[in-house]
Amino acid sequence: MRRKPLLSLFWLLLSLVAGLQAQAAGAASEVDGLSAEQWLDRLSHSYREIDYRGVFTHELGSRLQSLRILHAVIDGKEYERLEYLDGEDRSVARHEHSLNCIHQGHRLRRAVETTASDTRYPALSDYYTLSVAPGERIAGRDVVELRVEPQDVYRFAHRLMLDRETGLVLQSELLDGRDRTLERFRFSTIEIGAAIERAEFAGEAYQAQHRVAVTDGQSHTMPWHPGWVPQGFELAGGDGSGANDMQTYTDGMAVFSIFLEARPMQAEGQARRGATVAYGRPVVIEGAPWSITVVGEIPQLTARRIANSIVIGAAP
Amino acid sequence: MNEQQREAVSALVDGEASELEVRRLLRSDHADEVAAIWTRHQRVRSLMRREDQRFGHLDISAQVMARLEAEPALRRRPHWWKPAGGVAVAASVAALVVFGLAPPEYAGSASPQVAASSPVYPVQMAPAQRAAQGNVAVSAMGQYPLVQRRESLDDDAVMQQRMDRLLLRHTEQAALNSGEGIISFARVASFDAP
Repeated sequence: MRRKPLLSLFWLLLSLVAGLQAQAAGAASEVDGLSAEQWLDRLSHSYREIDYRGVFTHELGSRLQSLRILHAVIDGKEYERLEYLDGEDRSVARHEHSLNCIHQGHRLRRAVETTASDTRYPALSDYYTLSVAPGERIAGRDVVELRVEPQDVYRFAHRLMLDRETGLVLQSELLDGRDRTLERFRFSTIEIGAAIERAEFAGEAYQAQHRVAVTDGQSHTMPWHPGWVPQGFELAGGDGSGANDMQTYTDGMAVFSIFLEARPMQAEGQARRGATVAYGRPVVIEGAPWSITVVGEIPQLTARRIANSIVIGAAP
Repeated sequence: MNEQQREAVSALVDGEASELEVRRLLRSDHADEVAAIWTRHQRVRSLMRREDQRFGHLDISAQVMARLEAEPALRRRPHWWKPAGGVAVAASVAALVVFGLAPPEYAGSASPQVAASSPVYPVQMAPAQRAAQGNVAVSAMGQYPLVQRRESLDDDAVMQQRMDRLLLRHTEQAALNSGEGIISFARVASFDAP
């Protein structure tokens, strides 16, 4: 079949523009005509907007557990359920999460959509290097490999395997500075586009809380703030229960939370499990014992530096 | 006791026995004989090194064993929190220590509120130096009030629960922001933390 000349010209122009863009970004790779940034954008939509059910494994060092996930959009609202298949029988669920509820993390990953029109948000590519390449098969589906590598030492690298058809994450790994895998999620079976009834989300489960006190990086409304966070991290929410004892920050890929609690801590301490670290220390405020704890999927160094920078008073 | 076993004891004295050899020796039916050879070897060794011989005749192994058996068994805890530096000391060590001192500004501060109206000042107080010096002795504490007992094993369990709770709260936010959605909850250790 012959293409119409006008259409050919259109394709030629489009590929020229795409080629120039890729050159400007320093990475020439594209898969299925989509750049790494565009795959990231796709990912940020697919995991929320598609219906799927599957079983995945979660690996932390030598520890391995299996979980079943159920996800559907019913009347424009997300329904999610996660069941732990090993050990103690437990589940967690989040129901009726509106798709219009866009969090800071979503915004940062959707840089290709937002930064052109809205300069308030930093581009994720300012502090991560993105690349994309065709990958092996996972859970019986073809994937593309998306690498998101930090340009500094304050965050981990991500190696993501996305479903080539939908952009859904089928495997995700967090890697430290020496390229060692700290944690891995990997689907073993997945049914995408499954018909899922609302009734399937019933059943006993811990209901995940959705407490967001601040909107869009309004750190100046908070009674305390970190004096330092790595470049690109934006306030994503605080605890809305009135205690004001928690703030969460994200750069679009990594997330950490800071807790400033009016309770003593016996000693400075730290914890690490897979990619998750916690660093805590006692502090004295107005003669009373308080504690600062930073929890997140970030290097220990970062957590420590953030915890040591906390300032009482609103951000300037 | 055969020649091979004697050689193994010899190697053990020199610190050159393999793990397998040590296990075999400890399991063997000649424990007393092994102990006798061990003692003889040690004596010869310390003689050759001209070490103090005054306590050479004492065998305190039985008392040590008795005391070890009397020790309460350590509970196995699914731990992830530990004091900084990775030193999980027994509760009996360092009964009283003070963790962190208020900087002079706090001690002299007259205004009690930590509201937005108060000046912005850092909470931090030279943590690096403090950590390097180790914990300050109680006597050095002066007017600063924050004295706390070293965590006992039970306090440790409380700390564990507290961390699990913070991890859960963090994950609730992370799930909304990380691009993994509810999958993030695979990291949560417990949903019953108070």
